[in-house]
Amino acid sequence: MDIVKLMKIDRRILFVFIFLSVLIPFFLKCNIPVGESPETEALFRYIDNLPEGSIILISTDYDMASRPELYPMAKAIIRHAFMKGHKIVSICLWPNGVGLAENSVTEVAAKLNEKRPEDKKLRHGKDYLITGYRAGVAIVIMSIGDSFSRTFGTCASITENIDGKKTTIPSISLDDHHRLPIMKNIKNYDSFKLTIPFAAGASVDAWIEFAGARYHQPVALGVTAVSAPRYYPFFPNQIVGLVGGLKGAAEYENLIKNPDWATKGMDAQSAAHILIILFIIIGNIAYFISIKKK
Amino acid sequence: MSPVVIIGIWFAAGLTLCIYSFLYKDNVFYKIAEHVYVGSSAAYITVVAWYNIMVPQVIRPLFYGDVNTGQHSFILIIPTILGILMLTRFSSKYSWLSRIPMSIVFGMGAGMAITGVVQAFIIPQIKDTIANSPVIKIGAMKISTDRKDLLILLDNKDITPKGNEITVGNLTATQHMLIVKESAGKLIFAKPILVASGQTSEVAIEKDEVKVIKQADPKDMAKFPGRKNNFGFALSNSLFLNLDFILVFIGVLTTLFYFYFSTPHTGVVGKLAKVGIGFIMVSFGASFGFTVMARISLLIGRVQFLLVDWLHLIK
Amino acid sequence: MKTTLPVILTFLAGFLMLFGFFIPHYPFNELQSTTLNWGMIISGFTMILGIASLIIHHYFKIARKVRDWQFSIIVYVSYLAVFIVGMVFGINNGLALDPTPTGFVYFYVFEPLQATMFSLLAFYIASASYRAFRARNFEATLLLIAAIIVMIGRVPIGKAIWIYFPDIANWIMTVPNAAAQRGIILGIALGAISMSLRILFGIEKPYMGSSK
Repeated sequence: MDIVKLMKIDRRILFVFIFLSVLIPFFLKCNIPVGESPETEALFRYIDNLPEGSIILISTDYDMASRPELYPMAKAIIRHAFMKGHKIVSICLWPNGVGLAENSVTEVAAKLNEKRPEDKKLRHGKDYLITGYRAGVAIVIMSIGDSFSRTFGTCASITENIDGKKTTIPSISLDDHHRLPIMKNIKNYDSFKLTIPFAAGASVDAWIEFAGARYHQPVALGVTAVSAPRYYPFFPNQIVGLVGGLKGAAEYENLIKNPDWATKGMDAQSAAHILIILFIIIGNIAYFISIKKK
Repeated sequence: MSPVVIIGIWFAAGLTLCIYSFLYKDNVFYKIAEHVYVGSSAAYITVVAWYNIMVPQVIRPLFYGDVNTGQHSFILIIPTILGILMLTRFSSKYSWLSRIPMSIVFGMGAGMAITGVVQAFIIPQIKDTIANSPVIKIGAMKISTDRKDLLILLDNKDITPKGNEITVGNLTATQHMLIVKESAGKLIFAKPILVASGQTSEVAIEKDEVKVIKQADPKDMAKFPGRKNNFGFALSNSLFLNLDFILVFIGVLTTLFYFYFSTPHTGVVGKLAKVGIGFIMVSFGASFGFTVMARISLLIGRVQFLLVDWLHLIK
Repeated sequence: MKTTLPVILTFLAGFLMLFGFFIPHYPFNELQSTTLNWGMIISGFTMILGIASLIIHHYFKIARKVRDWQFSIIVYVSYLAVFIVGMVFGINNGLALDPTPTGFVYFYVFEPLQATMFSLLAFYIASASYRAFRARNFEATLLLIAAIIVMIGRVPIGKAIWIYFPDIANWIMTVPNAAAQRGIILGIALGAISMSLRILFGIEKPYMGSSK
């Protein structure tokens, strides 16, 4: 084969290969065991060992661009927390992530509610709270240390399925403890047993700086694979867990024994990685042969 | 599935294909989708700014007041005006007014950063590299039992006591899996026990019941966690952990040398910087690997949508 | 006035934050809390600023009929459509299988567009690894080997090929990677401090904008 031709192959042919490497595994269903990494397991164990009824603060700091990685991760962790009897407070620091902050919690709650008796059902204001977006990232994170209710003012308007009926819950003042009983126990970071930002960007630094270092809040990170390597130096002394990318999400799904979207995507992830490694090897072989020819 | 959802999925599939058509070559369908994205995302942010900032943070406290006391926060007029001043950027005559709110935000950021960076990055990261390095924080676990027919496993290692009590020392300060079985094989207990550095966690086994008398508080674990070795086979071998710590120490130091430009990179400094480049390259390689992973995951997300939600080809 | 006032305000706002840290008692804690609250509101307006500049940008494209100006009309139409839906129905998405009109836009317009746009990167990174990822010298080879081990060790098939791949990948992440990242973090942190001090004392004025 002419090596120069191989090096100048039309990139669209490479595109087809990469698409197929992701597509085909979905039909083959090899289901290779996902395994676990210590950073993911650390967060799982941490949530597992929290006393029942602990309030966990989660922050949606990503949008649709990282949804495939962070949304399954957030759902797995929220599910674990709810199953352990913990409460979730969901805030959002990325404007386009508002919907994800809302639905990651409401979808998990709705799914768990299907099998629960009426009095045990998870409800907004009692078992979870969704605040919506606030601007300022680091300023918001700092401000929660002063007062959570002053920082957010109101909760977001959300929809719940109550007695089989779609019910819209309006935006309520966080000082209205009668309608939002969860707020009775929320003042500032001292009220949260754990904070988990799900983040696709630099907000993580601010979480470590202000929530972690300034207010001594245990922080665990759910980050995209792109930013995960940067946060390894913080584990385990400054963060209690680090869940990175779709693999981290799949690991968490398996730790809570509820394999879902992330786990289903792992075979495709394996196949595509092997293909890219092959690309690198073939590209290098072609490169070295072309150097020798010169 | 409701007709609305079905229409939505088909619409979404159409938009997805419009964007993928770009892979063949740039075309009008891609351009349309791209501009719809710009417009809709800007509109969504506008709506979010209204419902999540203006209404709860400005309009409610100004016009409706506190839910309990009814007090109006008229002082919020000041930041609102400051915010509006921001929009003078578009006027050539008054654009200097926008510097006022901007300077406040920048000042806050700078003031927060100075203490935040020292407290969160410089001190703990240096401490982690130097003070903690070759010292492994350890704790212990004490297990007492009145039964002789039990098999007790800690991290899959048999620690069944000879007498009524056993203390396992030299445990890294982290979670340790405790499994208690009857010799017939029946599982009685399997849970992780938290061990903190310098403390002894206690477990008592009475008849069929396993009581965790004392274990580390998860909050303490965040403060004093031990380091678990990556290689399972070397968990009890502290030599590997020490080597890792020494490598991290060398890596941090030489990386800093690489970024230190006040002296020319010659002689010893040059050699150290060269080692630093090695560490940086390995780190960049790792980052590249993770980036590949992230990008592929995004494609997986879209393929899942096309195959599952749209075409129903797989479940 | 045009230059001095912002410098003074920067200094005051910054030192308020510093006082809030070193003297966390009345009145400094209260002042800090109020400033933070105001900061959030001002930050909210920066979003509007960004959107306004986008709209103006496309307005000029249409007005001057620059190349591909027709697409700017699409920006306007989609902006208006989503804006009206959002303002009328609020930003409540509704239930997953029974979305509100806003939820419909969010899940069936916004999601496919943004998610697909970013998934294009998968194709480009694959083509880049084929074309540009070469073991040209020692450093590049180190990078390449680390990348390959991490890529294979972080997916399930890695463990299936060789049981120690995940362990080695994890060792790379927690030892050499963590060491280099820590060095970089320390470097950036020192830079951030000096930059912050320069801003506080008015040596650096990032808020001045283009017009001096």
